[in-house]
Amino acid sequence: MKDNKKEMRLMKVISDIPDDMITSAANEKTKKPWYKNFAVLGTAAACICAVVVGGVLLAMNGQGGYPIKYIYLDADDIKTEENVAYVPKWDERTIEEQYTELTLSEGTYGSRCTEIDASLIQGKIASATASGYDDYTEKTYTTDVEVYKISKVSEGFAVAVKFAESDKYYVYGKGFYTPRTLEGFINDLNLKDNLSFSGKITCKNWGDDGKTSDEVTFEGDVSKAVWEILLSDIEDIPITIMDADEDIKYTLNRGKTMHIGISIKFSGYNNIVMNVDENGYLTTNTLSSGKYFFIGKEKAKEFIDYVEKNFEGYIIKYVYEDNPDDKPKPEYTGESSTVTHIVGGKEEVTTVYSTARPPQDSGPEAEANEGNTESREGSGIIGEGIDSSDVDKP
Amino acid sequence: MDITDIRIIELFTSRSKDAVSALSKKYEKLCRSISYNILRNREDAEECVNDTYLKVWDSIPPAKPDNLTAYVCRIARNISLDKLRYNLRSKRNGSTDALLSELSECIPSTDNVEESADDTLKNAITDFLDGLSDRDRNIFVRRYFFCEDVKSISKKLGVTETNVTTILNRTRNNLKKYLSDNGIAV
Repeated sequence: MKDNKKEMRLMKVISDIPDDMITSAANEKTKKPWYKNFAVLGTAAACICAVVVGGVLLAMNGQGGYPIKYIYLDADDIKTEENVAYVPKWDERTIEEQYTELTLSEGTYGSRCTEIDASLIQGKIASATASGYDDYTEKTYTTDVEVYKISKVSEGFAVAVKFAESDKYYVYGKGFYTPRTLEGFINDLNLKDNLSFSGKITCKNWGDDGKTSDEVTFEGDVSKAVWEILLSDIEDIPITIMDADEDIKYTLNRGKTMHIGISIKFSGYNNIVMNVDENGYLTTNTLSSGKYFFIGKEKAKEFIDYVEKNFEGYIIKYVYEDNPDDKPKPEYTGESSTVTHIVGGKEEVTTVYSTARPPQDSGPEAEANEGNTESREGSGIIGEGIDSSDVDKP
Repeated sequence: MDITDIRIIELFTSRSKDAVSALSKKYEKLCRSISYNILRNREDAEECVNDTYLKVWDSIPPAKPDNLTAYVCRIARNISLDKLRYNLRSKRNGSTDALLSELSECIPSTDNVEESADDTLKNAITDFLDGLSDRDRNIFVRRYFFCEDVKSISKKLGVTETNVTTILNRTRNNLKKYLSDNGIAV
């Protein structure tokens, strides 16, 4: 058996590389992988064109097939290190980005970097001091601010801040705010008014190994079903905050799960998720911690069935423009299929392929096509990387 | 260093009972990832994370790190490597074997030469990494410091797995040549 002495020595010496090299590599984790970041994808629409291949069917849990939507990512404009890792200098930040911390007697609030409409502001709560840190000069700055209550929102969760230099109001929130129950959570954040839905619901099957397979995206207005099925009769359902152990346990055992894209209006919490799994748990990454509630298997099943029956689903495959090997080719199913390019947000049918399998197509090309369906690893399990802040993870 | 790190160090310096929980709140996932990536065993990783907290408690004060992230990561990594060395005596670990096998490609053939001092080797590797592009260096550090696998690096940095593998191959070969050219033996 090889003793690996030299390799272990090299590993040990690599421990002593300079601090800035470690943090430079680690800091890139602070951003979500760009191809999973729907906010980035949304704003980078000009870089994206999609091809929908109809008639390519894959079985999902034996329930029949879903079409595959190929999304080409022209990554050049959005994946450079400058764009991903750049920390703006102090003068380049807006005031709510400069002063990111507010300390009140109730605790410390963080800037949500989000302006709030003056119509949502109620009375003044306090005068206070906000502070901010300049990463470049390593200086801490402070400024006096006025703090206001936000209409129908608990001060324990968020307040509005007005700077002397500005007539605008900005939201500051307590990321680790923890109400006792699901009902309290809904009331304190006034979710009845403030919860909005992206219109996208992703269904994943989480295996015992924490990996997912057969990921299907549904589109539709899910708000009625959420309120009437999931969030009705919710008295005394306790909240549980996920620590790392809970996170792992949950990730490994959740089975079929609907990941619902949500945002909390006014709060700056956008493109986050609410998950419902077949074991009866509702989880969310709203605020700065994962939290879950047991709502019961019946409700969860009813909701999952509702989505599958009422919304159109498709399988998304992301394709890097800079990797031509990944580009999908029409698969030979014996049926015709329509290929639609989505350019600038509009669908254009540009090509119709005949997909009858040609007799000569049995070599490497055909084998390559078999690899077009990807299985994505779970985001919540440790070991995938040094980043644990994926958008779809509570 | 961000303001949270400054406060965490203050808590340790004042021997506050909240110090470890503050450290844990910010760094547990990172430490756990590093340990797990090295050891591929949840129980061992958990033990190493706890040992990391203890080590930070024992070392601050008198230590007052300028960069708490790097300080904590380095401790978690070293503790995990010690555990790995212990584990390797009795059993194999597929993922780590692959990592060590890759690193063996960086080692010049200098079996008959006395190994260089730790500081000499450390400075050579630092100088070599300093000469890399930011992207190549970050990929190297993610692979061999944080011990992330290629697939994960590919996802996080938005480059294909093939690109990551190619960059790592090239970097290993260049490091081997650099060490060899400078007469450094591992």
